[in-house]
Amino acid sequence: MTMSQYAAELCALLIEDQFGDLFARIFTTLQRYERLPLPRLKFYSRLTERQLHHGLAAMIQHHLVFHFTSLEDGNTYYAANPQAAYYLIRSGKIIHLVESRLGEYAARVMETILYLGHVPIKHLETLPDLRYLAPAAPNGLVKEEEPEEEQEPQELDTEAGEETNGANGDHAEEVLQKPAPLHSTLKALASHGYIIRVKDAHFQSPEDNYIEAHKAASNRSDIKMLKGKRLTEELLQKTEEILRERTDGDLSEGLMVNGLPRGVKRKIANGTSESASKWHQTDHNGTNGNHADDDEENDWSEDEDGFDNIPMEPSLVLRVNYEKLDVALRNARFVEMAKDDAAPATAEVYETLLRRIEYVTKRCRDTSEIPREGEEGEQFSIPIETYKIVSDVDPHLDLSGCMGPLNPASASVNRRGKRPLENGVNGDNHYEDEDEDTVDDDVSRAYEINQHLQLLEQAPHNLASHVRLSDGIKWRVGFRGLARKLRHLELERLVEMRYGDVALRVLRVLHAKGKLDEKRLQEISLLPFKDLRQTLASMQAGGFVDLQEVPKDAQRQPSKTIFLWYFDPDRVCSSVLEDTYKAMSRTLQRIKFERNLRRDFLDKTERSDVKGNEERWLSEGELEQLQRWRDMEAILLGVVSRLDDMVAVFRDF
Amino acid sequence: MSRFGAKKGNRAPGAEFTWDADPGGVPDTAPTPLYPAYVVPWARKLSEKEQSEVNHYRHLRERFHEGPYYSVLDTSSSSAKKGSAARANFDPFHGMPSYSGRYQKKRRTLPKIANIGREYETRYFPRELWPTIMPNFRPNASIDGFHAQTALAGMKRGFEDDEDEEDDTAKRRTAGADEDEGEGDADEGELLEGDEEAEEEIVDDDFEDDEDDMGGDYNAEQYFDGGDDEFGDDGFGDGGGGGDEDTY
Amino acid sequence: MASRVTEIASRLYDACLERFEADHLFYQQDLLALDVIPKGEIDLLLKCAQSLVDQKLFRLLQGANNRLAWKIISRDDAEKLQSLSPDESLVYNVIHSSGRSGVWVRNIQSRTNLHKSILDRCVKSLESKNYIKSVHNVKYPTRKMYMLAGLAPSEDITGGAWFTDGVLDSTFINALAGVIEYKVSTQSWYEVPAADRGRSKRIKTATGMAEVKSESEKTFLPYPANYSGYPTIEWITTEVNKSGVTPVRLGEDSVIQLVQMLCFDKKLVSLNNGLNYKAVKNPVVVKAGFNRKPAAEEEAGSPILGLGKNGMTEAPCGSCPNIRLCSPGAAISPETCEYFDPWYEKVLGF
Repeated sequence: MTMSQYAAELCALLIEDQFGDLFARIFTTLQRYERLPLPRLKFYSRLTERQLHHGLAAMIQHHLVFHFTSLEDGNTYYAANPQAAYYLIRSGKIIHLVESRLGEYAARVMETILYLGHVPIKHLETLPDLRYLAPAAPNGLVKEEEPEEEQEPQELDTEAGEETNGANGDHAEEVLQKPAPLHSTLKALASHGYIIRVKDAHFQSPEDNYIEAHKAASNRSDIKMLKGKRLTEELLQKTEEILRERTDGDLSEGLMVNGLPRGVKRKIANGTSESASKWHQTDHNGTNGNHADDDEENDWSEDEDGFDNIPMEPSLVLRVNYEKLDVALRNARFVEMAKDDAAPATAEVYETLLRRIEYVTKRCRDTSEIPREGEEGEQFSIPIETYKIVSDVDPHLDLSGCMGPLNPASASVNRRGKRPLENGVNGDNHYEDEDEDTVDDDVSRAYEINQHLQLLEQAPHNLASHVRLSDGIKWRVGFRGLARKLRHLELERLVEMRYGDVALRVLRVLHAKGKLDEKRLQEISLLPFKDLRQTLASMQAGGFVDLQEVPKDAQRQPSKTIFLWYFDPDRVCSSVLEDTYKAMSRTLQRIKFERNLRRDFLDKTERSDVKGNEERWLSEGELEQLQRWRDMEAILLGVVSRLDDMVAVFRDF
Repeated sequence: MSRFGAKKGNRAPGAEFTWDADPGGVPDTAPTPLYPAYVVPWARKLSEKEQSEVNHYRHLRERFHEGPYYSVLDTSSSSAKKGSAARANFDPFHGMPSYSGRYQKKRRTLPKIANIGREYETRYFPRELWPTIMPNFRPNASIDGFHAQTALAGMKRGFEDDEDEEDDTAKRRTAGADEDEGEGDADEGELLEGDEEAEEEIVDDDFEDDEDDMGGDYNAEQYFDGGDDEFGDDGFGDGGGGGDEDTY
Repeated sequence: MASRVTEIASRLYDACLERFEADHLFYQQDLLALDVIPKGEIDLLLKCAQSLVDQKLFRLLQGANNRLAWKIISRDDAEKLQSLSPDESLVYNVIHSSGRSGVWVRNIQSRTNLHKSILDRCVKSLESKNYIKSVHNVKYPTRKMYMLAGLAPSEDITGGAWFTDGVLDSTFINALAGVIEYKVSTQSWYEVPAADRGRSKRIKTATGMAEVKSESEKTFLPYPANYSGYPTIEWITTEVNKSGVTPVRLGEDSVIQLVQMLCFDKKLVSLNNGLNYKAVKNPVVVKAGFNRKPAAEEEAGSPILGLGKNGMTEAPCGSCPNIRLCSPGAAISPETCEYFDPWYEKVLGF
């Protein structure tokens, strides 16, 4: 499948925004001609040899360009890597995700890996920016020219707690002195699957990899002996196997402890839940390098006893694993759905379940192309035992008091001024009140967690499902169904906004019932003909519904024709996806335009003497102007990022 | 609307002709506005999370901008060759060097590859780029038992004469589309001119190195020079080069 | 003789009135069995019956096995009929015979064989006397149909409870749907008793609910998954008919139709294969939803009661009328776009 026009435009824009227009020119040329050896590339791009050499080298470093050297003609062919280009827009989300899960320092490590494309660990060790827990420079920019004296970064200083309070500046020096746990952070990132080992195959396009794997598979002696249908099947399977083996750079396996990745923050019994969202809300003012985070990191790096003293192999080359990060981002969307109409405690239980599932899910789906709605089967996650959720969930999370009693009538009479849940469930469950011992406590907690998840299993959520096994209940989620739910949610939001509630009802009726004529549609949707027709007409103009004519006779007269309305979610999704790409491009182009409008002013703010000293060199008016520009760019980028959320839903999940 | 209406309407013969199919209606003779009335949507304020994401994005972007790879094709400056396209595009308000200009952010025109404190994982790069990423690369040395098959002919076609290179390009360009020729020239002019920037000079140093040690990895080009029939044929017929945007 | 016939006929009529229901179809032997006709004289009976028919007090019909049969007509109706011309009477009878289904003008014509102009006159005259009324048929909205003025049109031609004069009554439907959603909601959510409220944590169960709740100071909790008190169709039907919103009693079928519509609106969800229904939103949110604006007009800051927003509903380009034409450097381009400035104004306030 070739890149659509708008996706290609968007990728080129993103590259230009991040790396300048030389890269963009090379990328666009490669996108247009698909696959070119250097001389052809030079010819089409009208760049000099030198520009191309340097450009290509840097772009390969960032995985923006695939290359493939043919054994037949010895030529090296270059091709664009639109996936890597597109994911440039997701960098903010990725870094934020890592920050909320593993803290500020891990986010800095992640950002550095993104900044370098791929990097061997030994190089990371040399970076002054990663040497200490607090960021090195106020503006965080790295100067990597001078590798200073070698220090053992993996040697962990695990003292914590001295510098927990106070403003950033006051303790800056003290913090700066503290060597950062680079290796344990890398292990945490690797065991989460957020970073992977770079493989040769990562530099070749998926098509080239497939062809090579296919060749390798068909050259195998055991395959060669097969014939006919068996051959095709075995070959296909073997090819997939080889392909997976060659591209899989997973590092998590050896690093997991009891099924949990390293660096997971333990729920410490201090009453605060450290679920990403919560502790993030508690520190409003600290955007970078606040001490609370540092504290956390030390906590977790400390308690993997002994293990962390083994540093990671310095020659290991790392890169970011977008596939896995998409899994985490997708789960975040699932949690969001839960938050929309369930109690916060329920959503948190769900998040805990999903986190466990994330650890064992490598990618969002196995097929690279977007599956067609009617043809896709369900794909369930690994089922998770309730006791694991019990142990993971914040022990201070109040699980009771979130649900009404099973029997409201008796509850109002028999009210003990206690959690309403208890009154109702007393009958079918054997826990009494607070005076149980810890074993009972665990049992009751498991019971409560099951209650929360059962609620989520029920309509309208349908977010999880249980499997009953001999050894108890396990919980899992159906990825395809939930991804579909997300897709329809995004579509419906658009329809609601553009055509109103009425249209939403019509669309759902058509989706549930298939093709319908107007009369039947009216009977179900209970809408006046006038409204119905208007809605259908405007939705048809907008491409959301289609009309099929079924003539009753050969004359095809309109009076003797049945008109059937229908809604084709696949077609609509792919067209909305294109529109989304286009909206992203136009918004980015607008940002560029707005920046050019302010070019003189912004150039001034970027002057080496002004930058970082804005307060000193800029007038009050200028400072305000700068702030306004930053706000404007932020909201525009924010909107682009929300559009990217939709792309993820329609394309990646 | 009006034109079609006039044809269809069953007006009595001899009735006064009018373009107005719908008397009393708003005449649609006015040009359609470029931007029809559109109630723009409102957007939610950025949440704390989103603001943080945007900040991270901008921070990384800034690192890229400050980093060694960010490079632009055209920086109109007064140092461009006289008579060249760049000169014609010279912006007298911004192009003139000024005192404060020394603080002005410099735009690279070529990614800085070597001597930036990074070591490249050579094995991940195609051979023909090795001289670029490794200034000390000796193409004649055999690596992994693989002797550079390229070190035979075309040795002379190195970087040493970019002028020729350029002519060449120009010639070929005339064969193809040529509307952007001027621009292309400007770019290359820029490059050849070199910048007075110290960092550029460092690059030039590498470049000198390249020149000396340049392997003849350009016979590939010669290979293709005669072979216009190779156009667009990558020899694999996979038809899907780079088309993996849906991969994940 | 004549007076005797009249007298006996009158007694026969009274007896029929007494013995038979208005719509009863009776035969010769039924009349003889009344013991009004002396000695069961067939001849006399026929004369009396004819007399009554002439007076429009009996209607002559063909019963089973082609036997003669009659129905009584009330005196009021008879008076009406007596005032009619023969043609009008003919038309009236055809319309009468169609009962609650009504009859299409063209069918009246074919059955009476009257000329169109005469038929038109008759119909007009009957309508002006308020004997008949025109009705609207949902299935054939263009047909002119009539039925007796006193009858209520059958569901076949009205389209059921949801139509008023052949037009779907959306105001009625929406009002009723609102009642149903609210009633179901009260059974789907547990309202924490006022005494408990102080201690119970602020629980936000639906988007935008926090704001709504702070005004009403009511807290609602979901019931556990095995809660069995969610309403059934039967319960909903009873509640709707009790509510006084509907002038006529609604049958379960009509209620099912409405409930399914509410499911498509995602206001209700069906549980246990349609046995029970649960409201997605709690009563307070349901109430707040009644006067919510369309999503397109929602203003910043107002609680989100719909599905919420996404990039495409927020970006100026997301629903831009020009998006198909927009391209950098063109007449319509991101650089020349006039929509961004009002958007900044709206979103950022400058």
